[in-house]
Amino acid sequence: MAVTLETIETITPTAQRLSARFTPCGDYLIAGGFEGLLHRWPMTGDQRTELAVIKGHHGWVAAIGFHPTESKVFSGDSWGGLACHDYRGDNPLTLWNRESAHDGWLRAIAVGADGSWLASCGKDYNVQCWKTKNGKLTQRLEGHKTDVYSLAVHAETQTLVSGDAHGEVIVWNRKKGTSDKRFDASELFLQHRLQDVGGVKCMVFSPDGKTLYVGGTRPKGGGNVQGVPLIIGFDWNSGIEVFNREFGAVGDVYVHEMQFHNNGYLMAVTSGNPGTGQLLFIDTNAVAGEGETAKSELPYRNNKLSNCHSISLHPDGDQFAVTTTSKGSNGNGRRLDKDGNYVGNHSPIYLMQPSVSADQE
Amino acid sequence: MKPKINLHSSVSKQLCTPAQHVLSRRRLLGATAASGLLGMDGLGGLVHPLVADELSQSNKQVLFIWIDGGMSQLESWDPKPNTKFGGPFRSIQTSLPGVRISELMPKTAEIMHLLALDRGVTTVDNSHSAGVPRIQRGDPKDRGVIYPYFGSAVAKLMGQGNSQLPPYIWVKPGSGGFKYQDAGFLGPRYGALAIGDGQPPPNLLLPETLNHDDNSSRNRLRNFANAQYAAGRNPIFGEAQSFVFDSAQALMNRQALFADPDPADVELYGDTELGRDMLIGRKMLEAGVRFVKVNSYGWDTHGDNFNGHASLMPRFDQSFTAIVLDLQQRGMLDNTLVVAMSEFGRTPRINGHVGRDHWPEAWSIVMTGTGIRRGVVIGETNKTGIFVENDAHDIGDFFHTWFSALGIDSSKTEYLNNGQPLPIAHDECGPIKGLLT
Repeated sequence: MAVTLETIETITPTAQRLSARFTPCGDYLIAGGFEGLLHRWPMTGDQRTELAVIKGHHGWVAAIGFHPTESKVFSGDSWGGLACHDYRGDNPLTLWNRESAHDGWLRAIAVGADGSWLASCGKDYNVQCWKTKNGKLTQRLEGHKTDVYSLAVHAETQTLVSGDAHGEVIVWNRKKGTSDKRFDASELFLQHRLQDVGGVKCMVFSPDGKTLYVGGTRPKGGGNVQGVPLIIGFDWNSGIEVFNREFGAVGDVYVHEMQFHNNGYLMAVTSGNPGTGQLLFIDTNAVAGEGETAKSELPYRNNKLSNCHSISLHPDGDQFAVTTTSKGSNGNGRRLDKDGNYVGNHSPIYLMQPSVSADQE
Repeated sequence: MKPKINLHSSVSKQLCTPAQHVLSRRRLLGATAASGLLGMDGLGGLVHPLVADELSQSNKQVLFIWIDGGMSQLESWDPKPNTKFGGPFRSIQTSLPGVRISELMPKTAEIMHLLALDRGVTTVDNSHSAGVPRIQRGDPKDRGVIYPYFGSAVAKLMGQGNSQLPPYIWVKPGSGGFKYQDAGFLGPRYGALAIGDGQPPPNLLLPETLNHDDNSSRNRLRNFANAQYAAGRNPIFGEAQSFVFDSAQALMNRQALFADPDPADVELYGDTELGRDMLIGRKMLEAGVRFVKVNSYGWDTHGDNFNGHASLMPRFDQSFTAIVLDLQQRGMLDNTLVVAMSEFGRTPRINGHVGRDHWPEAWSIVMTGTGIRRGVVIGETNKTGIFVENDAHDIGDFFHTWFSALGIDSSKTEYLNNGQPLPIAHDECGPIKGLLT
């Protein structure tokens, strides 16, 4: 099968944005930013004019999650803050705010399928569970030995899983507050000179819940971090590695986010050296040799997008949004615009829709 | 009575007109005549040898921490949290009231009252290949010669002191050996002896099969051959070779410098590459080495800058704080100039690889120790950290400042290169008074 994509629309924010996500109702697209703000765009109607920002954060806002049935967005920032807002209306209400939920960078949020709890993780090595209703801390899960980067929740069992900067994945027993088992994804980590490189950047369960996919890079070096985008799949029951594929070259570096499309393909986005980026549709059921990427496994690869940092599937299960970084984003030394201003980069967000057809070959 | 050779104005200068810095024919002739009178000529001499004699008796030393690749000023000394280019990290209060640095440096924050920080560094090179040598040479005015690195300059100006150890030792990851290139026109004698990966220089230790008598016989033969070779040749080459050999001999007698570290020291400095090298640096200073450079690599964070600094900074934070406090506790900080710096800072703009590129426009240098005022912050960048707003300083100003801190009057001291007097630092710059005691 082959996949073709149509870009429906492009949103062009004036500055860089992180992790654009559709709300479960599909009425909004919400993205984090570099200045402690959440940005909203309406997805109903024809206009994509940005709405009033949601305030209350500090630093970077990269962790975003939603209540499955209520109009609540949960967001975490790089200063350790965790907040809940009603995302509707002209002036979104802050429902609760925990400014020091974590000691330092809050990296990820995952929301339980029933909407009653959420989990967060971050720089303090902790995974913490909270009541979505009032932001009350209910549990602190300790077991990681380094920064915790990513979270996922099994849709059926609501089992929480976390991945860290050294490539360790922990499956938690929330009733006991202990770790049930650990998966080894240390291929995603390298200590290079003085620097830890890599880690589990993202995780997603297969639609049938039988496989956990973790994404990151096979690191080659630090400083100007280099590596090959890598996805590893673990059998959920046994923990045995059942999938291990590289996608791209050394300069493509990180798989930043993954999500399964309703057509069954695993969508993944990568970002590496400035200007490089991939949008991938991966057939995880196709069989290829170890480390290889057969054409049958990769029905679609777009490497024209620049630095893709997030992907979000619309609740219609078909359209999706990819957050990128403007081309020509790098450069040494002073670069001023024609008016003499020092300009930053921005993050074009592409709204896309796939169509699947029989392979021409 | 010391000969009075006052070739330069002694007035500290920040900004001067180019006309003030043209080396006049009169000055040139004066310098040449003076050097002739004193019998000092040839490669890498000093116009004022008695100054050198005096300096050689000084017990002042230098620890120069070179953070290769470019530490981000925004993730270290000059954070701008919650701004467009400020990055994800918080700032924290330091021991100096009103002064905040990045949360990635909690230990350094506790010793800020011991440090002098300049946030107004403005230089010109935005490439490593140009920036590393030009910065370490003080970016002098082009006079058709290759200036020495700071370490070689101090080795020349202050000598090896009483330790008889090499005056310029470079502790670094990777390979070791003798790096004569640092010396520029001063000649190979003033190059750096590099200690790579914590190991003594190759073949430093006598082989077990060679006893003391045999070694002495070999040395007599070597001296004889050297004398034969040197006859009729410019003496500086033989002198350089003998000097380096003698220094290596002195190092051979100090094998304890390369012994396994005390576990308590490892805990203090950190069980990391940089911790190891800082600890070796301290041992070298303790042994009397005049100038010790400690290198840290891996800071060229064009990609994944923030995770990179989250990982790099704690290692710097621990080892830097450890050595400053260690020197203080050993009573050495008052005699040791400590400088930590890179070849430039990193761009405020964040690129698509979530990295920062090279930025010489506005960055920071930190220092402490002998001659340096403690607990001061000078220089100021604007709200978003893009440009220096107040009190900008170029690297030439810092060279004047550091020479002054070491007791070297850069307005009066000059090199003499084949009859050509050369200022020891950029003659359009001057010492930064706010950093000096």
